[in-house]
Parts: sequence; structure tokens; C-alpha cells
Amino acid sequence: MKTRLRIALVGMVLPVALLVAWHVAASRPGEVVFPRLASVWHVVAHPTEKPETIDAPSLAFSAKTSLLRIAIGYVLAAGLAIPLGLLMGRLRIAHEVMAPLTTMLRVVCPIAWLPAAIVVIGAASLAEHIWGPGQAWQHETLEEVQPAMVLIIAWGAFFPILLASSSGARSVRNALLETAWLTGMGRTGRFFCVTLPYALPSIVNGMRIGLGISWMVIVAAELYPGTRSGLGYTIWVSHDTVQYEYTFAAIAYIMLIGLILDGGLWSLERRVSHWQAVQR
Amino acid sequence: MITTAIVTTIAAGLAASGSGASRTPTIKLGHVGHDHHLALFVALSQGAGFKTQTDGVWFRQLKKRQVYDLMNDQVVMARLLVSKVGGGSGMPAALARNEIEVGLGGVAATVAAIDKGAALKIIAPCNCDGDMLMVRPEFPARTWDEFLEAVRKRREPVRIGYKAPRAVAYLILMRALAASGISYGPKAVNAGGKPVQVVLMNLQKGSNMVPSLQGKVVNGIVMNQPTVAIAEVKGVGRVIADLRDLPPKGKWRDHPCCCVVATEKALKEKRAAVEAIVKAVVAGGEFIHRHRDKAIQIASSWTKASRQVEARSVPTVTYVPVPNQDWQKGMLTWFEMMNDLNQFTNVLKGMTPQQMYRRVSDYSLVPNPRKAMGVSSGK
Repeated sequence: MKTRLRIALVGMVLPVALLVAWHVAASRPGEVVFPRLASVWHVVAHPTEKPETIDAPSLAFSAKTSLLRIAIGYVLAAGLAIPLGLLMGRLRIAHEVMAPLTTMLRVVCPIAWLPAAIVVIGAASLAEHIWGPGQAWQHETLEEVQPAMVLIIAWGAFFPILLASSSGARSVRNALLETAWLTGMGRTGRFFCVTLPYALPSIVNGMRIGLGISWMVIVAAELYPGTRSGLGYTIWVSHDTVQYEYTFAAIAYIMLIGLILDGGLWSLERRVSHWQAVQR
Repeated sequence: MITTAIVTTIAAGLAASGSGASRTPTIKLGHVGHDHHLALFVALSQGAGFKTQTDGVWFRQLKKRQVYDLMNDQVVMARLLVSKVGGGSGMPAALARNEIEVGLGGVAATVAAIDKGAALKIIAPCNCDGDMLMVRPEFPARTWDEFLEAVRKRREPVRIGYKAPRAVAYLILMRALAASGISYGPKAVNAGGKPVQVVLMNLQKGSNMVPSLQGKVVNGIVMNQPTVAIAEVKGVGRVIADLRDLPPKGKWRDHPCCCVVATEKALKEKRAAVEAIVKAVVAGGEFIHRHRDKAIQIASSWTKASRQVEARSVPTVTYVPVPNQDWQKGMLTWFEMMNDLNQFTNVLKGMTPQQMYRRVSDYSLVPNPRKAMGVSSGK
């Protein structure tokens, strides 16, 4: 108990120091960029309040929108990257065909595709694609989801998951596969009972990294034309009108939601990799 | 793959459920969100009460700031989808990409886009002026002349920030510095290795102006309203010159800043709706001159800047409802200046300013053109 308390206290030192430094910076006369902590806290503590001084919806609505965009993009990325990665990890020909291209593409920052996405995919929302421009406004949630933005987020999450899945599948020990074969297990059985469980810790680790990148990408992706909500959008629009309490409140929400989501994946990672500890 | 299949199925299902949607034509309109476009904000905010000033045209609000029915008395002409499209230079780009069909934005950027081949026409003026030179509070100058004196006295160059290479304020400052015999450039030394007196820094976005002023990245900025008023209210800067007063004397008075632009496609296919929008914007501009306080209130509610900021900002902008003689003269000045800076490389290259004026603009939709030529800008 004492050790836990000590760890918790040590972990608090840097955040508290940061807050003190912020308070000092915000107290300087004529300070514009760093708002007072109290005003940021007021915004953070009232997430459903519609901002009076910036052209953005409430933080709660923006958080919901950002989460939805990330959820769609992330599921799309994971849905494509995991099977492709496993394939690359187990089939040499698949690796040889795809590795050069993926190596080239993964170094491109997702935001670099923003101009191309504007030109190729356009700024129409999912609601606009489904119900047409005249009716889209009646579908508030899907009106905020633009396929181009979702694809940019998916791009950010795709490569870490792909690489982790491929590396996880490649690292399966041949002895295990041979043992399974000797017991009469078929190709499908060996995949689901040996390869996939063995690769899972690596896949989940890649998913954690992919999720982190999605959150980083969303801030810039919500600069996309036609965006009207989102935590990234709130940051940009509050920067436009010099209302920085909203900037920092949105950053706080990004950190908080990121922490919760990463915590979920971390506990999943622990669960699927418990056998590694036993093996060690 | 499974995910893609699920998304496609859901989309197809939702599309089927929405198949009974009405067939009202839509028209997409973009603005930049600052108070130079107040005439539009006024028109959108007035509701049915506005139709007496527009021969029956008004906007029925469906979703505030975003969706309106464009009405002619009680008949729906089109559904108007309103969006904010980046800075003034972003507007012509959005038009060229067909994201919007009608837009309000910068004159210089629009003319440059037309030169590159974008099928656009300037269909009405929007505003003149509203651009300022501002310095940090401790900078030893309160007027343009004092600024020049300070620049000449300093050992190191004065750093002035601007928001974009085709920003109206930036173009004017360059010419004013040249006319005053001050050397300038993007770096502290010019191509010949000689030090310059003013370094002009591209701060990339209007929103970077206030932090850059506060962080002493620059000694001053040239910028449009309401950013200048925001910086004043926040205490990080002080206006020392309205750019309309800079040298050469009289050249920048009533300089066109923003205009209403439409794609040629929209002008052909949705002419009645575009004409109705022009009528409403013209009436909005006239309303600002008659009801200044109410207009300031509308500006504050649209830009979200405080009333105090808008009360400083709106009076410095000259709202021009119709293309009067001052507007035309200002446009010709722009063409001359852009030509001198070798900014025309394609469609407008080799044309005289008058030819350019005819090529880029079509004011046939502005109501009462004869009255238009006689109306002053009314600052």
C-alpha cells in the first residue's frame, strides 16, 4: 500500500510542476495565450455548455464527433491491417509483394494527404452522400463525418497495426506449428489456434500505437474544409478568435479520452499476453 | 473487408430510407467568417422582415448559420447551404474545387484564381478597407511617419507579419514601403547580400497574428479586421495606420478588399438563385449603413468576437453594397499593382486593367446598376 502511494505521489510531481508553471505564466500582466487555470477548468467542467465566444458546439458534442470519426477510421484501419499483416507475416510472397510499397507509404505523414483528399474525395459528409446536400443537415451526427477525414485518420492507424500484425505472425515459433501439425491440426486450425493467439499481443500493441496516432491526426484532420465540430476543430477555431481557454480545454479532453482508450487497450494487451509472462 | 461491407450495407440502407427526400435545388455558399462579410450575415439574420428591402427575397432559417431556405416571398427558390471556407484566399480555391458555388472572399486571391483559369466571376462588391498596420505596444511609433523614422533609425530590421502572400494588406504594405524608400524582403538580407530595413514574415494564418505579436516573433503586423481589433482589446498591439492612408497618397483609399464571387456554372444553371443572393447581400450592405448598432450586434453574434471588438472593427470597414466608381477605380489599381508584381501569368497576362476588369467581373445581377454608379461607399 505504501509503495503504491509512493509511486502515485512520484507520478504527480511533474504534472503539478507543470500546473504551477502554467499558473505563473498565466499570471503575467498582459498574458493572452495562456489563460488562467480557473477559466480552463470552467470550460472543462461544463462540457455540455455551448461556447459563447467561439463558433463551435459544446465540448461534449465535439468529443462525441471526434470519437465517432476516430471509431470509423480506426475500425476501418484495423479491419484491413490485421488480415493483411497476418498474411504478410505468414506468406513470403505476400510480404515480398507488399513490403516495398508499405515501407514507402508508411513514412508519409497522414496530414500530407489532406490536399489530395480535398481534391479527390471532396468535402461532402457521409450524410450528404446518403441523403443529398439538401437533406443532410437533418442528420446531425453523420453530417459531421466526412469520408475524406475518416480515411486520413485510418491512414494514421493502418501502418502500425499492419507492421505489428505482420511481425507478430512472423515471430510464431516453427516448433509450435510443427507440434500442432503433428497432432493432426489442419491449416485453418493452426492459424486460429497457434498463429493468431501467438501474434495477438503484438497486434494489440500495434493497435495501441495506431490509436495514439489517430488521436494525433484528428487535430490536424479537423482543419478539413466544411468541418463544424470536433475537439481538433475547437482548438483551431478558438485559436482564430484568441479564446485559448477552449484550446486548452479541448487538449485536456483529448488527453483524457486518449488515456481512457489506451487504458482499455492496455488491459486487453495484458489479458492476451499473460502467457508470455509465464513463458518468460 | 468485413468492415467495408458493413459500412456499405449501412450506407445503402440509410440511402434507401432517405429516398423520399424533397427535390429542392441546393446552392452552396461560402464565407470567411470575419466581419468583412457582415452584409451576408445581416441578410441571413433578418428573416422575413428583410423582404421589403429585397423585392421579396429573404432567408428562412432551418439550422442557424448553416442551412436556410432562399425564399422569394412565400416560394422556396433553393436550399442554401452556408459554410466557412478558410481564409479570404481559401474561398476562390473552394469555388474552383466546386465545394461551393457562391463565395465571399479576397479580391486579389479571386483575380489570381481567374488568371490561373478558374471559371469564376466577381458578381458584386463586398467591402473596401478594413486593413491596418499594428505594432507591439512598446514600439516607438504612433503614426506611419513615426514608423518610417523608427525603421530608419534601427540597426536591426523591423519584422512585420502578414497572413498570406496574396493578402490585400501585405500587397499594400509592400507598395507603401517601396514608395517611402524603405527596403524590405522576406529575409534580413536581400538577394544581393544587402541588409533590408523591414523583414516581411509570412505568419501563414490570421490566427497566428496575436500569439506572434505577444511572443515578440514580430514587431508588428498588417492584417484585416477583426483580428486587429481583437489584438487591441487584448492589449498586445496598437494600430498606427489605416492602410487606406498609406502612400502613394490617395492610392489605397477605398481599396477593394472582399467581393462576392460565383462559378460560371452556377451563374448559368442557378442564375435566379444567385441573383437573389446578390440582392440580399446588397440590401445587407445598405442595412449596415443605416443601422450601425444593430449591425455590430449581428457581427458579434456571427464572428463570436465581443461587442467591444466589433464596435472597434466594423466602423473601420467600408461596406460597399454596389459597384460604384470608387470600387471600379480601386479594382483598376489592383490590376495595375498585380501586373507590376508580375502576378499574372496566364488568362489575364498582357491585358490592360480595363480589359481585366471586364474579364473578371459581371455585375449584371446587382439591382439598379444605374443607381449603383451614383452611390458613394458611405464609410
